[in-house]
Amino acid sequence: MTVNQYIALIYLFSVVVRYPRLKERWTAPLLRGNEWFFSIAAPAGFLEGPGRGILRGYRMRLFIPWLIELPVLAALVISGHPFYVTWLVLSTTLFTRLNFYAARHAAEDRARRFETPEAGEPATTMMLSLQPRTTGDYTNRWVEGILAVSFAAAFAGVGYLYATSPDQHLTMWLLGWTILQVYLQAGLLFLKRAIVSAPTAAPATNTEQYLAWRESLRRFSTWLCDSMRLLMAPGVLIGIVFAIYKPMLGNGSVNAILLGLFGAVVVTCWFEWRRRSAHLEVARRTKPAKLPGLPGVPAQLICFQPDYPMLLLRSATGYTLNLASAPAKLAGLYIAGFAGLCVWLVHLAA
Amino acid sequence: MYGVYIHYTVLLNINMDDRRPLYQQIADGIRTLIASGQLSEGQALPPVRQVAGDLGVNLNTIAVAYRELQDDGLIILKHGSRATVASRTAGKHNEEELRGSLRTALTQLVLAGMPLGRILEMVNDELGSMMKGVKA
Repeated sequence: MTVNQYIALIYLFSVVVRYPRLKERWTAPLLRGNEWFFSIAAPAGFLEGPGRGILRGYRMRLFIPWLIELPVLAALVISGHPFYVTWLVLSTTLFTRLNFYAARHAAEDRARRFETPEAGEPATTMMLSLQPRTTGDYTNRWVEGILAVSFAAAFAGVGYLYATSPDQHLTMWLLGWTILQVYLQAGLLFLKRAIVSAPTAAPATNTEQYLAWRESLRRFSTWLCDSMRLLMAPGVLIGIVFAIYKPMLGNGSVNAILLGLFGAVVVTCWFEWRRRSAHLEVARRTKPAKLPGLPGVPAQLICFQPDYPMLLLRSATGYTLNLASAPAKLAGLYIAGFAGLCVWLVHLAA
Repeated sequence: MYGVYIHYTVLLNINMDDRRPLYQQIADGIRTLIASGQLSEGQALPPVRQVAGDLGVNLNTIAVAYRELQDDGLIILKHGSRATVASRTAGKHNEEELRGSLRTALTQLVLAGMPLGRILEMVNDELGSMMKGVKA
């Protein structure tokens, strides 16, 4: 297969993968039936009245990424730069998600004006589970063992290459790649910890059911985190094995790597689909509950409110930087570190 | 892999309209759960960080509640390990001290203008529901 054929395959795959997400987002406002519009309790006849326009507006906004993507795609193909199609797919995927959040936010804001007054009030009573939960409770020792052995083998392989291979440039690049993989593993562990410690206060009605679904979702999400970590681990080893046995492998190795990458993308998409299905199932079965929330965000440029686990908060006058939240600061530092590592890798590859 | 995990967990009721401060509500709630036997001896309590995260409050609020329970001899706090429910016989209050607490509670009911019969009925109800989970 030629490179152009690979790119066409990637684009077709991205279209096929995005179609179910579009369908899911199309029906998302009415996921819980006609009594709810997203998480807003809709009054009777809402969808026949003002809700119709809000729903139509929301659905039209879902097509904005496609309206931008198609002309850009045509321009890239006509101008003879098909390689940039992969970047177009990646950026459109991100933009589609952000566009969905914005469309949903706007639709909910408009629908909130018609919300029944009693439904808009937050509950005054909530239930708190006294079941202790730590990341250790959601950890599989076998998974951790396999990962530890994989990375030990990867570093040993890099050490072997350093001692024997004349291509030190490649060795350094593989070392950088392995460090990046370790960094990503740490990031996934950080995410797993955040999933486990996510707030789990429950409404006073249907408490058991609510908590049971939250627990099932938590278990599933941590399982996905571990699966992703397991999926990433062989990638490092395969790269090193290819580098060590490169002379023995023919031209078919490039095709094998590309096929492997494509397989990894398919499995990632499957994980994402399962994750979305699980979230939707929980959303369907639990009614949104307005629990007593966090206090109001101050309207300064910088705030020191550790209760918000977000680095950037939206306040009355714009955006606020929360410098007091330890998880938010850690996440910010992690992203900065990741960018730094990527720059280093690009520098090594040059 | 994905299914509903039903675990019968012990639940603490928090009321935002309650006039008591939040740490007091938490301490009183755990006290009631221990008294009723829903939290048994040796059972682990969630870490301070978890409760604070669930309620979206400061760590100190929960730490104060836990310390109050520790001072009452109801829970054991050890640095680096989970808080656990203490032995019911390990309470360090003597009878006179406990009688004082009972007197204070009864005084509030009398001052609220409740008739004697209603107070007795209320005490019996509370005691009955509290002792349901207690093993003889």
